[in-house]
Amino acid sequence: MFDLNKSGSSVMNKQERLSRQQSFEREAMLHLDALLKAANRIARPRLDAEDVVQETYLRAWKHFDSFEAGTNCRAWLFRIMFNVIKARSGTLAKRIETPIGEEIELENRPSNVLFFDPLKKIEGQEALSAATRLSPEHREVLWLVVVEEFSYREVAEILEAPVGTVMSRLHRARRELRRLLITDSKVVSGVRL
Amino acid sequence: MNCGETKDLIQLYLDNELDARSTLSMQQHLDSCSGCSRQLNILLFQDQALKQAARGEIIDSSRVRAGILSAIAQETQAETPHQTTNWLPTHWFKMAAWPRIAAAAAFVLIAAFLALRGGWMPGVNETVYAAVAADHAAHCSADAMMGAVNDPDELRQLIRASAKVDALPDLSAFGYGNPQGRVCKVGDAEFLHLVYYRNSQPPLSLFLRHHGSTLITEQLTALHSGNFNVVSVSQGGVDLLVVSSLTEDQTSSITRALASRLLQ
Ligand SMILES: [Zn+2]
Ligand SMILES: [Zn+2]
Repeated sequence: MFDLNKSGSSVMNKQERLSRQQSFEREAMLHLDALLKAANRIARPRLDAEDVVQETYLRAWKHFDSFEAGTNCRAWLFRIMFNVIKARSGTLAKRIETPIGEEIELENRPSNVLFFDPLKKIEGQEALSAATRLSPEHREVLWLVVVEEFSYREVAEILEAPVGTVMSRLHRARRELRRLLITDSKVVSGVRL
Repeated sequence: MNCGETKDLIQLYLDNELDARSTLSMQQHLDSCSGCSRQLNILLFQDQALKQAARGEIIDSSRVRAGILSAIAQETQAETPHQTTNWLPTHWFKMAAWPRIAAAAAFVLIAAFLALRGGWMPGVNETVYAAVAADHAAHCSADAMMGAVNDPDELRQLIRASAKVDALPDLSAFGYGNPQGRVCKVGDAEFLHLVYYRNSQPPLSLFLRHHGSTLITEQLTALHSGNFNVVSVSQGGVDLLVVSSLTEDQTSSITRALASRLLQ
């Protein structure tokens, strides 16, 4: 399903090329909005989201023969897109992950820090803008699981990371998102105990 | 299931990753434990807010759609589907099989050699020499670099971001051009891998990496094995390795020229 090494066929008659084009438009173009939305939130501000998506589709087109019909085309496209993002952004800077033990235990905060009703309705726009402020590796995993509803295994394939890594990043991403939402609510409401 | 187990599994439950049996016992616990069900609701509300906002967002994809479709249509019209690689001499494609074999040999030889000598450079350990030779062979064809950055401005950005070097290395004096770049995992480290091409010659690779060390290894270190020479230098907090099929002298003079211009 994810074999990117197999190259597109070189000799094709015009009829074959047209029908290949049609099935590409039918199967792959369907997911354009999903990819563009994800790129908008994940690739930016470092990369141009439209550029990333366009290159993703041109690569997908070139390798469309290696995509197995009937398998998950959306996952295939996302995987290509993350390859493009990775190739384009300098990911050399060592990524720092908070060791689990050092996480702030939200439930055990000193009571005078701030007031936040954890069950109050979270505004979608707040959540979206907070998610965009997460570190790239947190927002990508959160996006793929929560918004795109990929399984852990699919996300692991898309990001080329072990499932365990996906799970721990996701855990941290959700905590970090929650921390941002609490901080935001402090700014907005100014309510303190 | 108790509260501790629930805490461990709550994320998997939320994401539908639990098997049927665990799901059932999780539900039973949640029904009887207000603490855990509150925890679940916190996560659930947060996820739902994000999902609904993201999915409800309206974006305009018409421009990128038009761009993709016209590029595809153009290609479908054309006789050869893969125009992007046409500038490469066809000659190179006939040679494309050798680098992999050479890489395997290079890896073994260099690894053995380095096991005897140990590492020299602050940022580079012995496995890196072997790994860059192997990576060069795996990535130096234009097909393997597909999706790599080749726009000069973007390349400059990539080099600045990843290696903290402020210029695009220029090898035109040596006849090499059309650089493509990508970030490659080499052994345990990530390097910026730039490939330069020259008509009817095997390509040449530069590997750049920023590191924190202030140690300087100004003299070049050269390694030869089978088909490749790897010459490295570490200066100004940057490791630079040049991998080529040229002679050791030629590879060294390229490395020296680059180091004097780039790594101050
Ligand atoms: Zn409980
Ligand atoms: Zn490479």
